[in-house]
Amino acid sequence: MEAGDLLVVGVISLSAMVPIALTALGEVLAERSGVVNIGLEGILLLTAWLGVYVVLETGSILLGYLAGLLLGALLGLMHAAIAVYLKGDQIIAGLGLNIAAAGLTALGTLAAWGNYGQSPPLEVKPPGIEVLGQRISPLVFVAILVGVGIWWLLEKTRLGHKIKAVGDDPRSADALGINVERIRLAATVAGASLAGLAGAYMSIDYLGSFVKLMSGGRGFIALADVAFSGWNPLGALLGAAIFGFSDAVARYYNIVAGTTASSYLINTIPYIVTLVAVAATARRARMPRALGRPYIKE
Amino acid sequence: MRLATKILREAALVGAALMVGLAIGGIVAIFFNAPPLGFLVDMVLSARHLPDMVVEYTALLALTATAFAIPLHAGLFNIGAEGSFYAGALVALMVGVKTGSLLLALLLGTLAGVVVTGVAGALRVWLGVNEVLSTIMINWVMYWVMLYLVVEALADPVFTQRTVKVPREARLPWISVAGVDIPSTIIVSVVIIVGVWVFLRMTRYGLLLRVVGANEEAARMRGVNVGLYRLASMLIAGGLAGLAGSLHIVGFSYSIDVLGGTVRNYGFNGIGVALMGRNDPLGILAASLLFSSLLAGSQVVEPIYKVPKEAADLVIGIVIILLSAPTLFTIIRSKLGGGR
Repeated sequence: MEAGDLLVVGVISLSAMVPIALTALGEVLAERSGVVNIGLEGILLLTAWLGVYVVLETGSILLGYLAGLLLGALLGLMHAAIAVYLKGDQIIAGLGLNIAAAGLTALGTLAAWGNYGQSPPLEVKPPGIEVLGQRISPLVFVAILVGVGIWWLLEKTRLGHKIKAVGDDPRSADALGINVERIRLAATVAGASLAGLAGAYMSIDYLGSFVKLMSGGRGFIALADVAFSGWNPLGALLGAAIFGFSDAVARYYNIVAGTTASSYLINTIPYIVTLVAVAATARRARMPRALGRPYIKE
Repeated sequence: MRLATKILREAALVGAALMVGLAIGGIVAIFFNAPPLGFLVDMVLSARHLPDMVVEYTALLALTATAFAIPLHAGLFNIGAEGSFYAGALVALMVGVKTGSLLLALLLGTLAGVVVTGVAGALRVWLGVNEVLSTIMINWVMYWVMLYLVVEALADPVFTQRTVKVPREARLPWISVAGVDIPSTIIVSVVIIVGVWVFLRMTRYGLLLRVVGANEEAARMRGVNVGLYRLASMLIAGGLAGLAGSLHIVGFSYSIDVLGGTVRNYGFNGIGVALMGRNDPLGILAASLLFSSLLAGSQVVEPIYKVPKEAADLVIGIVIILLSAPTLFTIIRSKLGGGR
């Protein structure tokens, strides 16, 4: 790869990093409050579908993003109802959402566009600035701002300290008069909304259409990124950048080489990179102590 | 007596979740201009037109579900049955084609499954890597590696949409039951599931495995090597899923298509089966028959009612979500039955 190619790959990396970054940042927020959402993959898929559907119907990209954000919030509300109020099993609820989302988007694709695989391509061009012949989406900057914002929220504000208290030691937080359930509800809904934004970005901006199962494991890669980051929003941005780069390398080679059998092997790169990154940092990571456990008052 | 009440309560819970899931399936039917009741009844009943498929799905899903259930008994969420299934299918195909030996194909296919899920087990026990994440990453890697080998090394020169087939001598013969031909993979599967049930309920190791999952601290206090039990649970799980993949190749499909459709989703659906079977091997056998009927039935009714077979996935997903929060049903019952 020459220096010029590397720059192009660098620019593609920025676009590839956005969905992982937004999803992982939302999940950092939720997990800091003690709630795990394995259903992120399903949220990405459903909101990617809805985003394209809304843009095709209304012609408005903004409405597409708004729809993704709202559906994300709604799915977060559902997850919080199960995880926080019904004291259900968070992992299992998320797995169920992923399976239901795969089925629902397949049904929706046939119902809306009359085929089993994909939507028609969007005709409205998403906004952005051109660098080296590649468009940089404004969502790149949104993702970075959200990352810094969540870091500031968690480290510098009273609300942030409450969120962390609820995720580390809900019993003591409760004794201090913090409403554990309400904080967890808010963090879960906010986190899932960001995943919804990420899903809408993937279909509206990154790909320009909806394709069956297009989330391609990114919800899970975001979860891996959260562990890699040590539950730190700035670390999650870095992890998303690493993933974005490996994804961009894979995409770039597939464009250069064309789709051949060896591009199948190149597709494994982002997953191997993620696995190695998580394995390398797992021992040092300090996860919220009450993560994944419902809080039951005595 | 207490056991009977417990089983009854679990069955009622699963039944209630299934009813809600099917009701939503009925709503989907309305969207596709199909009569909801007719669609549901036909979906559930028409599986009988595909007896070989129902039997095959039941055999495979029971194994992949057990591959989820055993690590769960030890406190781990194993999402890796999918990847081990691919590995088992791939290796069984390669060995079957190369050597023509049925036994060798099954053995090495199973071993491939052990290795694939074993990696996640080892990462968890020795490096503390969350097994949900590692198994999912490994699933994706296995998926692309499998497609690569299918296209690059195993493609049939004449029928290019699939790989070469396992030779006749390496295939598992079918059996005839009441005049219906069915794959004999079901016999292998049932024998293994019953074996797992005996292991979990009747042996010291099975008991300790469940103690590790139920109360890690208590297990440690008793001097149980928690890490070793967890690793073992993942190795067994990998073997079960690898065996399922191998059986599918030597007993039913004999080849893999270039999109991987012949081997996809058995691992993932196994998770749903395990949850519906409440992680008990015998419950899993019953749940896999139910699941298989739903999956086969949705394929039969697809061309009749023009409702995509993915409707079954939606139903299954909703059932799993509902089963994740059993208290939901307790609340509903206390609201409805107030006085009781």
